[in-house]
Parts: sequence; structure tokens; C-alpha cells
Amino acid sequence: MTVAVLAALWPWLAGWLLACGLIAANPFGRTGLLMAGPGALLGWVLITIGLQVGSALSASPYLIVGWILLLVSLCAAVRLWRAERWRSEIQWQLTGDNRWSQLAWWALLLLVGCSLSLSIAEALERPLYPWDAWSAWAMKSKLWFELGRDVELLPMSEWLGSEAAFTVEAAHYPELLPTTQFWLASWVGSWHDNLIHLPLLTVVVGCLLSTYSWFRTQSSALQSIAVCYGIASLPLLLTHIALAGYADLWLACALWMAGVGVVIKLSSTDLAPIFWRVPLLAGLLAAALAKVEGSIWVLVVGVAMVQLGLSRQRRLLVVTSLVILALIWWTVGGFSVVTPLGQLTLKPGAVEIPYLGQHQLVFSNQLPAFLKGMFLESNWHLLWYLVLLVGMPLLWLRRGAELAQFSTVFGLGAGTFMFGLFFLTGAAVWAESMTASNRLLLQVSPTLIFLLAVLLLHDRLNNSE
Amino acid sequence: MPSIRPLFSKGTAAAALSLLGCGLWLWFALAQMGSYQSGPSLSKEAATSELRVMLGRAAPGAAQSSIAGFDDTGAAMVAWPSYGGFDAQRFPILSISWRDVPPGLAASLSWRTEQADGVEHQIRLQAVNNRAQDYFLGAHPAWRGRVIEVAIYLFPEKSNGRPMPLETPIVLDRLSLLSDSWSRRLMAQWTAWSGADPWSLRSINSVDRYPSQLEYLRLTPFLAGCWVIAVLVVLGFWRPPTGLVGARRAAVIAMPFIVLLSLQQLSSLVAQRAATERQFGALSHQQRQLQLADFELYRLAQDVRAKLPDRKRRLWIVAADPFVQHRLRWHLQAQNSAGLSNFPRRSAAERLRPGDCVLLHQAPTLLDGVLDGDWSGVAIELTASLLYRANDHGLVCLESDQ
Repeated sequence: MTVAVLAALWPWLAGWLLACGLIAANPFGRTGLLMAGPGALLGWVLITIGLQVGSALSASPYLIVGWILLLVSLCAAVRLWRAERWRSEIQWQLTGDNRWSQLAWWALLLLVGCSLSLSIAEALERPLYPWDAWSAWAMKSKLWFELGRDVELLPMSEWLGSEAAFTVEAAHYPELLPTTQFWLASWVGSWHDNLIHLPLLTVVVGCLLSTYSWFRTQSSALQSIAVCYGIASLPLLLTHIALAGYADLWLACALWMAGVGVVIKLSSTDLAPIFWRVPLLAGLLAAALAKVEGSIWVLVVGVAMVQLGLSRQRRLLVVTSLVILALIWWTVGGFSVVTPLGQLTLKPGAVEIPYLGQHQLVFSNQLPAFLKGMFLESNWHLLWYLVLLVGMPLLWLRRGAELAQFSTVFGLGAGTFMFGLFFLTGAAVWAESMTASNRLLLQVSPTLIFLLAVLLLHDRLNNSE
Repeated sequence: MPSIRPLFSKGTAAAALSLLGCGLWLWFALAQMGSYQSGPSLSKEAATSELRVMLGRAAPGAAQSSIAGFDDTGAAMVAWPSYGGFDAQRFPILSISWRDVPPGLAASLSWRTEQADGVEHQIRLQAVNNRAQDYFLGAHPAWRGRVIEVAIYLFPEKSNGRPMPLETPIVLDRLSLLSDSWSRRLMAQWTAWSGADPWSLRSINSVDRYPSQLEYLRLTPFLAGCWVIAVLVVLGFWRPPTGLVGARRAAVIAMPFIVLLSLQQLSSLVAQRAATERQFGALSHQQRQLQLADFELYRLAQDVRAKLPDRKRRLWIVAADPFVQHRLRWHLQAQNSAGLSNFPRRSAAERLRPGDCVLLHQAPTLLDGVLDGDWSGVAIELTASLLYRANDHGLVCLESDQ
């Protein structure tokens, strides 16, 4: 167990140091705490890339990764040692100002702690439980662990005709989650269904620390812990910790940290301009490496960021052009071209996109299933009620703020993606059977809570011209 | 003479409205509690797929269940997954309602308690169509303590153990346990608040928690959402919001409801945690595998793995049930395996090569199907060798000289 904990903490601390080093933040102060989440993501991304580089170079993956972590930690430590900025940073009070707010602060912290520790304890005791966790994700890491990283893994269709390769369902899945599981198992020296979840726990805890730290820049201690509680008490999030093994929570944390980066950029703070880049890049990188749909979320965040740089007239021009292009596309019946990445077909009845596959487009109304999952079942406590009651009015009330514009475009992008996936493609059956729709909502819900909480509580937001 | 104006101030009206709302809700909840049944919903799906439920595949859903046929023993069973059990004395009445029951069918209720080691108790039931029947179980001397298993059996009275064909499925509209006093109803209500939601109801895809009919007092997101909206309307009537105030007020009002919902969830986590601790605590990794519902597959995989010549030999796992296929693959990890739902389909059989191994789960049925089929030369030769060489575990490896 001790070895496993150290193996989980090492990449986190190395990533944390790297994140602090990049921005010369005090690792023991407010800005350092802000980097806890991005640091955890960076650490595990480093492990993933390091192991891939090691495999490609036919070198010992441990050697490569070990050197990378050591070098990163050393460079960051030297940079921090030489930086003067953080030494004069003002320390902030941990809890509230008066007795009642202190009491409420401790109560909420206790609730967060109990929920997380109970879920974590469950993850550390119950053998690998959810279907895809053992039939897909961990299958890959377990094969790596038992046969070595260089074993060739193919999808069934290719495996049938091959001579030596092995087959797993997750052959084409991104490698962040299997790599972290492989890393833990390798350090422990045996396959253990439970200890492989430790990396996820470092990421969740890191992201909560970052959120608390960010809110303490402009909000009271009680408001800050309340936001953390709002995220950490999400029933489905806790379930994904307790029944760990899927990559959805990884992706959710990655997007959440990208959201932190965006918020830092779009707020008037005394933080250096470079600060926002670290969480944003760490989040987007981890999102792309966590799940296939991560690349879509990267695109959505990218579009939401880019549109901020456009004036109102240009935005209108872009939207008008898109509408006209859509009409032309519909009139001519779509198109099909061969790109360097593969066939790209966009027709009213079918799409084929490189990396995302081929889909027939048929409308299927899955709204009742979504509404049931969002408003009736106990997946989200009151999140979606608050999105309607608080979020929508907020976006209107603060429409002058860049963050509100980002949130609106991000929300529209997320909605469009989910509509396209669950209402138009064969994935509709997953929404109908409630096997995927809530998981996709989980991927964006921490980010959503974070963005709405900033819009609600913070006054110092950048306004658009 | 005092003015009556203050009586109609907005504040007073808002307070009166709030009190009225609370009163109406309590009256509704208590009235429903008095006339409806309680207990966890029974589900045929939960019974037949309990193994999968336990491993996170599916969650029992609808309260209504149906029986489409009888098994090889001539009986049909609908088990009630009690997940840790319940106190028998709190639910002394069984309420049951059937539809489409053919004549000549008998029914019984059986249960096991924690205390009576493995002893199954039974009472006979009458399968009468379209009429709710209540049985007072509290009078039975064995209906005491913690009940951990409950099942309903249906069997033809004169079929001598042979399965009876059913033209239409038998529908169980209602099958639940009731409390017989207000104090027990309230205790059952508390159990509903503080009891565990098993992981089968809190899958990775949704927290699929259907409150049973007694649980009107249990706070659901819908109920909490209604309360928040109601309080906001009342407050808005009293003090209309301007700017960000309304949004902030809504967030503040929602917070206690979120905490309440979360406390409910926390109590479930605590109870679930205790159940997991009982099941897996202080066990080694391998012992935990043997505690799982599919431990027999795990044992089979261990035996098969010991017999397999080497890991790079391709292993075809033939099982009709995808769950069995996947679990065998998982337990046989590091073996170069693939799952098939039937064997040998022409396309799959043609892919077989000398040196490949085949693990047949439920082999006889599948081989019967093969022999009846129209198979090409290659497939027939392979089938013959499988028939000849399959060992106790249904494992056969094709020799290099075939």
C-alpha cells in the first residue's frame, strides 16, 4: 500500500512542482494550491507520454519516465528557488471570519471529507466493478502489466487475420487511464483491482484544492468551500469515484481545470498573465488523452475562446456565414472528400469523420430520457434546477462579461454535441437505456458549476468591448 | 381600533403561503403513507440478472414484473433482492396482485432469515387473477428477525415437475410488504431515508433510485426543486429581486436542500460501505475475487489457464451470454483470447488455425446446433475434433497436424 501511495503521489508532486515552476508560484501559498489540479493532470500526462516514448525507443519505460520526472522536478525546484515573486505573497486565512461562518465552513469541509473518503474507501475495497472498467479499460493495462508494454493490441477485426497480436476492445481507446493503471500495478509489482484507482483520486483532490484556491482570491472562505461542496457532492461524481475504472471522471477533471485556466484569463486578478495557460493547457492535453470525445471538448473550448477575440460585428458575420453555408450544404446534399486523416463525409443522412467513425443520421427524440436523468433521478442533486433558475438568468444579467460569453458558447457547443450524438446517431440507444447520457453530462458538470459559481460570486470579471 | 392592514402585508402573506405549502405537503405525504404499500420494488429483471446487477451491468427498474415461462424444474421464481435484508417485524403484511394466471397454478412465498442458518420458510399463496390479496405474515412464527432473502415460486399443481407452456406472461402488478401501524410506517420511513442504495441502483451510468410508495417523505431532487421554486416565488412576492440578487438568493435557498439530498446520499454511502466491508474486508485480492458473484467463472478460468500451453496461443471463448464471455476473458487475462456468442459460425470457424484453443461454455447445446447445421468441410472437421477432444472444462486445443 505504501509503495502504491508513493507511486501515485510522485507524478502528482512532480507535475505540481512543474506547474508551480512554470509560473514561479509559491508551492506552499495560494497560487501554489491553485496549481494542485493542473499539476496532477500534468504529472499523469507526463507518465503517459514518457511511457509511450520509452516504448517507441525500445528503452526501459521506467528509466525514461523516472528521468523525466526527476528532471522536471529538479528544473522546477531550481526555478522556484531563484524566483523572488512568491516570497512576498500574502497568505490568506483558511476559514471564515466570524464564528458562524467558521462553523459552517468546518461543517461543509466535514461533508466533503466524508463523501470523498467513503467513496474512496469503496474504490479501494470492492473489486473492479463496472462493466467497461474490466471488459475494456483495465483489460489493456492488465495485458501491458502481464506481457509488457510492447505487446501489440488490435481490434477484433484486425486480430482475426493477424499472427501474433492480442485483441482488446479498448485497442483504439486513448491511453491516459490504462497508462496510470499500468504505472500503479508496475510499482506495486502485482495486479491489484483497487490500487490502480489511486491516480484518479490524486486528480480529484487536486482539482478541488485548485477550485478552493481560486475562489479564495475573490470570495469568502465559506463561499469557496460551498462551491467545492457543490461539486464534490454530485452523486454521479461520487459514484464514479467509488466505482472507479471509467475515464469519464478523468475527462471531467481535465475540462474542469481547462475551465479554471479560462476563468483566470477572463478575470481581473493580480496573477501574472502566464498563470492561465498552465491549467488550460494541462486540461486540454489531458482531455485529448483521456477519451475519444475529449477531442470534441477541446474543439468546443477552442471555439468558445476564439470567438472572444472577435468583435460583435465579426461574430454576427461568422454566424451568418455559417447559416448560409449550412443552407448551401443542405441544398446540394452534402459533400465527401478525402483528407490526409481519412475520408470526410458530411451529408444530411450520414457523416463520416476521421477518428470519430461513420454514423447514419436519423432523428430520435431522447429528450424524455435526458429530462428524467437530469431532473427526476438522483444523479445531480439540484444542479440542473440551478442551471435553469440561476445559470440562465446569470448569463443574461452578466452578458457584458467575457466569461458569460465564453460560458454561453461553451454551453451551446456542449448542447450541440450531445444533440448530434444522442438525437441523431445510433448512440441514441445509449441515451434511451441511460447508459451514456449521464456520463456525458458528468464530463461537463464540474466545469459548469465552476463557471456559474464564478459568474455568480465574482465581480471582477473582464468585460468585452 | 387596530388597523387590519398589517395582516395583509406581503411578509405576512408570504409566511402564510409558506405555512400552507408545508401543511399541504405533510398532509399529502402522511395520507399517502396510510394507504400505500412499502418496501423495495420487486423486479424480475433484478432476479434473473442479479449476477450482472452485482457487477454493475444493469439496474432493476420497473416495479411491475412478469413471468414468461417456467424453468427446467417446472417452477418459476421471482426473487426479491433484499440487499442486506430488512426487519421482518416492520413489514408484517404481504400484498400481492396477479394478472393472466392460468388455472391450476399454485404459488408460494419463501424466505430466509439471518438467524436461521440456511433454513427456508414457506407459506402457500393463492394465485387469484385481478384481485389484490393481503397476507398477514406477522402471524407466522418464522417471520422474525432480519429477512435476507424473499422469493415467490409459481408452479403447476399437476405437472409432476414438467414445465408448463404459457400463452401469455403472468404479470405481477403489485408485490410488496406493508407496515401495519403508524409507528412502523414511520420507522420504515426512517429506514428509507437512512438505508443503503446498493451499487446496482447507483450504477456508473445513473443513480437510478426509485423511491418506493411509502417514501413520500424522502427528499427527491424533483421534490427539492419544487421546494426551492416555491420558496423563491414566496420570497419574490415578499421582496422582488433586482439584478444579481435573485440569482444569488436562489443559490442560497438551494444550498440547504442540496445538503439534505447529500446527507441522504451520505447515509446510503455509510450503509453501503458497511456492506462492502462485510463482504470484502480483510480479504486478499484473490479471496475478494472468490467473493464475487461470478466466482465459479473465476475458478474455471484458473483451471483453464493452468492447462493452456502458452499465452500466445489464440483462445476462443464460446458462450451465448456476453457477460460470461467477457468475464472469462477478464479472468483469463494475458491469454490471447476472443469471445464468440456461438460456435462455429462459418466466418469464425474459417478463422480457426491449427494451434488455436477453444473453450466451450455450455458446450452440448452449442454442439447440437453445430451438428444440425450445414457446415463446410473445414468446419465439420474442426467440429469433429472438438467433439472428440473436449475435456472436462470444455477446453480443446487444435493440434498442429490437423
